[in-house]
Amino acid sequence: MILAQREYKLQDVIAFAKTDGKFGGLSNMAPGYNLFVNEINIQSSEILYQACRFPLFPHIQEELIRTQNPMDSKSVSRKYATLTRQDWDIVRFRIMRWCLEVKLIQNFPKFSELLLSTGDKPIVEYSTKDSLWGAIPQSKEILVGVNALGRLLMELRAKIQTGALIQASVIYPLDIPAFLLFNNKISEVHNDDYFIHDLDEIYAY
Amino acid sequence: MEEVAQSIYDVIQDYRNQDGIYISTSNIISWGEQFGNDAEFVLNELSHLLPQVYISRRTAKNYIKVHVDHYVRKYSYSSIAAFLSDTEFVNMQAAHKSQSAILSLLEEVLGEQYGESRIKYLTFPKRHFIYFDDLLASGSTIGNHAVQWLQAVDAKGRSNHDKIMDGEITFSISLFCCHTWGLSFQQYRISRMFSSKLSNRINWRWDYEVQNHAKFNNQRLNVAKPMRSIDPIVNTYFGTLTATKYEDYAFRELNTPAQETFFSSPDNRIKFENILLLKGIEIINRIKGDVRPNIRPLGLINPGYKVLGLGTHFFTWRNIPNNSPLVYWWEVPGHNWQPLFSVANRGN
Repeated sequence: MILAQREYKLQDVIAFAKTDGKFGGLSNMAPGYNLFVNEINIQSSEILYQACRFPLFPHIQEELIRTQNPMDSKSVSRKYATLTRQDWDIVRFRIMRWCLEVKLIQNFPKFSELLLSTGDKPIVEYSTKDSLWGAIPQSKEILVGVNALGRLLMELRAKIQTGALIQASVIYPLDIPAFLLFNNKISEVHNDDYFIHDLDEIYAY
Repeated sequence: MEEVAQSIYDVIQDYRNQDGIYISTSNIISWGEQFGNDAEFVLNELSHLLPQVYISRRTAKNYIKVHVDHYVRKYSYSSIAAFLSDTEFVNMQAAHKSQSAILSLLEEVLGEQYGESRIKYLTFPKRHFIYFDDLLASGSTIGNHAVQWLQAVDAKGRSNHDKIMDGEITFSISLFCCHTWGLSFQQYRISRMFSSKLSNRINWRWDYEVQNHAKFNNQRLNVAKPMRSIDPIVNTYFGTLTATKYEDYAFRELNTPAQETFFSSPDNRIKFENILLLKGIEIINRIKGDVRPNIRPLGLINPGYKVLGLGTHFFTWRNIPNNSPLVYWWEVPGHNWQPLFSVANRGN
């Protein structure tokens, strides 16, 4: 990913800052988009992303996942910042892309509808201090930042629009070293129906 | 062998007494002898495990009292009568299932410990709903019932789900034993069918935890879950399974659990698990005709799961779960296998 800053006119974009509001679901922190990775319940894509930062420390991953709260998970993450995987700056955008794809596949109707409802407008995470993942206001009308999250969301939207990602898609693990959750390789991620539809078949015979 | 059989008998002697079944030390020895040269080893290891995982009628009553006391405190009741008048103990399972037996035991506990009765308060309007059961293994029954109950609507068309979200009622699931892998699936199911917010509002409570989620952190693996084998019998059996899901859960990874807290030693775990697995395969091979796809040597499992069974080791005074290894409960005329725990009718 090219980390060039971009300038956005506020009136031309879909901007989101919090988890509420019409486009709050675009936030990584948004509730109501829980995930099931390696058959483990994860409250949000933000917590999954933070867990991916500490693949060699299962106890940190457990602490993160048990928070069930993305803000708390970020605090936990900061506490252990020195134990971040060494290639984090190289892999974190790929990891975030993967987290968003997982969020989409396991919440397809709701999340795809939300993404498509943004039309073809630029999606921007409005932030007052993070010009990497979002964009910061330079004036009442202009936002400036890398807007990495917004750009990844636009990329995801395009994949839905072209049919590159559909509800039945499988999200494969990233080909990076130590892509681990609790010392286990992260497996293929399926949509929710895959895990649920046959739960009651045990006694069907 | 008599001595170890006696120690096992001391633990499980009340198994199905209510059905007129009385296990004897000679039954236990006969069961053990089916393992040939491993008989004494199997009985010794079992005598180590059973005190951890056999729930006698008396223990069940103690557990029920602890659950009731917990809810009285949790919901800040000053008297058991006020708690009972506000509380419904959900009764959704068929009469021969464990829930009815637990509710009968609850009635006994309430009478003996508090001079009270839940039946006395059945017609009172309710705020708290508690679903009692003995075991969540795969979680199918409990998860399915939880969904049904949450979807149920009153005469005004309002669902229990809505009432929980509006803070009008509570829903708790109280268990003697819970498997972490099965729980994970059922919590996911509830969160997807309703919402994660709703799922978080369900109170789960259990006494004994089976940590069998092989992909979660630091699990005890207090189940029978053999390591991958070079035994051709095991590999042939496993290779013939047509199921495709969760194959990576089938075998225990090397060096797990990190510390042995269930079996008498790591070596004895390996030996015991392999004996149960091989004997279970032997039993399956005695089945004439088609083998039902949910039958596995270490207990029943969803047909689509390519695993050897849940390997559940948890037994109660009233029945044995069919998620336990077949060696404990398989009883089919002509199969020349005598179970340790004869199965009560499950109505499946």
